[in-house]
Amino acid sequence: MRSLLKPLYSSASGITAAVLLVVFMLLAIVAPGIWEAAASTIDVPRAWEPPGVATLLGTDELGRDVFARTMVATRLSLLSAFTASLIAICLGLPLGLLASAFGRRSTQIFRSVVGVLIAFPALLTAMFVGTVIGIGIPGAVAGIGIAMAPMFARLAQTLTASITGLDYVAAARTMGIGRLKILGRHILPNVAEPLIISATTSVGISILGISALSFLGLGARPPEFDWGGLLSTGLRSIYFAPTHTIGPAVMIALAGITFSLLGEAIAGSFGDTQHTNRTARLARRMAAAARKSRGASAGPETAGAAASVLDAQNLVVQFPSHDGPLTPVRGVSFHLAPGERAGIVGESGSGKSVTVLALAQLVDYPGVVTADRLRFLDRELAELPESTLRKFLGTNLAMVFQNPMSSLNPAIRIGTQVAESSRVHRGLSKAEGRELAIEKLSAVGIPEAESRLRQYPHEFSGGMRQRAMIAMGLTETPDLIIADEPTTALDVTVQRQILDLLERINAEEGTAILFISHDIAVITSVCDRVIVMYAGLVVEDLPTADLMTKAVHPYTRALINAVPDMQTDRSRELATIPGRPPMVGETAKGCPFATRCAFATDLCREERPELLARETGHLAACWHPQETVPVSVQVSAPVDADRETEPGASGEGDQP
Amino acid sequence: MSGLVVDGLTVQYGKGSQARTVVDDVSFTVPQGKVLGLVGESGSGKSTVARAILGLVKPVAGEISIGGENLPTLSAARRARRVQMIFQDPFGSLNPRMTVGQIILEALEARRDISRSERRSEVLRLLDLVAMPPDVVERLPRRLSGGQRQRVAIARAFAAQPDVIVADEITSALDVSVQAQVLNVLRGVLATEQHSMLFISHNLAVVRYISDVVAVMQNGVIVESGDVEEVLASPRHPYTRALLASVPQLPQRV
Repeated sequence: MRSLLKPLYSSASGITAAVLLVVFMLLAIVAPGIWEAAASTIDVPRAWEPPGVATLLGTDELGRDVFARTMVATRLSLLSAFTASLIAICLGLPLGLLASAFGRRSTQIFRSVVGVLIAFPALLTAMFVGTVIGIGIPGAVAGIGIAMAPMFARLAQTLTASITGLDYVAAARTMGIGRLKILGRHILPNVAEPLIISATTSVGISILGISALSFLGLGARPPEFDWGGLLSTGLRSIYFAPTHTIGPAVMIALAGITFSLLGEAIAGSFGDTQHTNRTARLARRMAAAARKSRGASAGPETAGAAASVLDAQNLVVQFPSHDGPLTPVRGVSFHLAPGERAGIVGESGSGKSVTVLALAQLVDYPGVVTADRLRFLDRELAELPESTLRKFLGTNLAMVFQNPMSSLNPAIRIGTQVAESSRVHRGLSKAEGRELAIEKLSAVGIPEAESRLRQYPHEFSGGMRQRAMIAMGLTETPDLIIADEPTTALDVTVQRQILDLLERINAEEGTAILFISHDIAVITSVCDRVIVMYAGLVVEDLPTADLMTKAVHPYTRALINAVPDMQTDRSRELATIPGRPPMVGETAKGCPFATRCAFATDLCREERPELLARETGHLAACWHPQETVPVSVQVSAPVDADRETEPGASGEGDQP
Repeated sequence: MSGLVVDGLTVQYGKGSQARTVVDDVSFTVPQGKVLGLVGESGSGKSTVARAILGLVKPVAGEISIGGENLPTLSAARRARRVQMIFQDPFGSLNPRMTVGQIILEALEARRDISRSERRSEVLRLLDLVAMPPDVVERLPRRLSGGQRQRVAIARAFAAQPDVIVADEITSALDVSVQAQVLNVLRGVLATEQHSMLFISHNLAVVRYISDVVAVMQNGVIVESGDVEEVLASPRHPYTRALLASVPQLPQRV
């Protein structure tokens, strides 16, 4: 309950809604006690008094105080609205829940019936029901309740259906748990949040609905009165006593707004959106600080470095959060020569994906990227104006992502998408673009490219889509292809084809390749160099040829030994890395791997080792590099070490 | 405890002229106490085999039996004591609103052999089996890492003490270092509990490591099967060879 109330005082609209709600509740409770006499006592000599100090909104034809009547009507109006919503929920919810608890057939029947009911205008249904039951508040309440029930039924059914498809419900089914238990244990608790939001909002809708019925004379009948009824009587005298309509109109509007705001505030708390403003402020502050520090460190730019495709020095990426800035990339430096194939390997949360997004200038607001040096093809990216930057990167750098389906526009033909970049950057005609698209699609091994041009992404298989993505990147003969887990979603045989394709492009066009993967075996089968990242830092950088003989960082070695391959000894346990990687934001001052490392000393825990050159092309950041022991010798971890006793570990994604 | 016998299993999706046969006359046996690795690519029908065994899809033909009982004819509760499943995605297979303790307790409900009062100690024993500290019983899944969640899912599957456990791609959503932990835990549990297991994976190296026998599936048909070392060392079917050739390899160890 506390988590439910929290949003009410953590956002402006939430506070407004909470205050209004309290005022309405108080009015509903005390108003009849205070104003009953003024509201109901007939005093004909005082009829049609204009608004004044004694009677704020004037008096009606029988001399009753209109303001007092409006206040007194609060109780009946709110009570009927709550009851109507309750009826709607009590009818709709069980219907919707049961419909999806029992088989596909009943769901289909249910959906068509509810579909028809929802299509029928709610007010008309309410009027019909109201007339059948009898004109008056009970009729109106029942009418609105029944009219809104299908809405709840459908909501409950769709929500339930979305949960029913999840694995934990399947798991419960395989355990032989009964349908009703599954409903109560696994489904209801997980659909409760959106239902609470809708229930809250529905009270506002009920208020409007019942007021409308009363206004039409189908609701409260004298001597009963609610806001709708008051509005209706007020309207008859609107030309000479306009204030009589203002009171009930304001109350109806305010009450409607209150419950809408309330629903929104609750939804906001579930969706965790209330920090947006603070995050935005933090982002601006961080960006300003970053500009300042860049100005300061602009001096020591080393000139005369070898021609390189990519040269990053101390690359840092920060994202603001309500617990202070998170730094998924904490000072990454590396260098990529023309035509080189390098791979970044790291586990979830190592910052490898954010690093390449930063290299491609794709870190979106509110992320902040800083670097002492970030040069692509020997040009400092920070110095290029936005317009030049886009074109420069667009023509020289190709990005391939893990999920080609989300990188391709599903509504545009493949051919159009492949040719797009060239048509934008080189101003090719439609026919030229088509020629180029055919050429490039053929080049990446898509058969019958000409007919496939006219197909849409969903008509391509996963491997074909990934080829199309690569073809898109190749239209400008880029100097660098960055491929971020491009084969993770693919089958091994298709993965092999994509890896071969990248190797061929590299061999034929001299395109440098930066390949990101969590699988070190994939990296070594396509790259000449392996860059190992851990907790937002590069910990080792060495030639693939030396990996199995010269890797010195305990993390690199652990990573190699943790992966079973076709030679792994089946009689032995796999080497594991005790504990878990630090989450973004958990930054120790020493070596980030120290807590999981069998060789860690106090020095490791106190001071972060720098990435230092060991020999040509081999860098490592470690106080105790393992030089003498062969890589494949497992260093056994303490027996109980993989019992993760430290609390909490969620964020598995690479990005905050 | 008994092994699993699948004989002539055929599963179709869709009806009438639109029916697609996704599993076509598949037969295999998981010997008692052994692990059968079922490999194949996406769309090969291996997950459908798992779903048929668990009763989540209805086969059009064939028998699935454990200890002489035909699974498709059993009630859900009786099937639960015969076979359990570990799912691929540890983030989707645990109810986010239930604590680790409640999740494992629910699986214990299917057991007749332990009393209510013994259940708590059984939960702790199972957690210990998957190398989790006892204090996680109070925790919600979101406070656990992916590897920890998968270990809870393993404990849940073993909790019901079924004859056979089906593991469907259980490490493919995990990081490699976590995968190693989960595989070690699984091997340890299998060694102490004597269950039979159908281990489904597209990762040949993982299948080789954990299985005793292997079956290779392509387009709904088993194309090759046998002792895991034999099949992977000298594959006969071209598809098995193609799969083996595609496995990314680390450079030779020294």
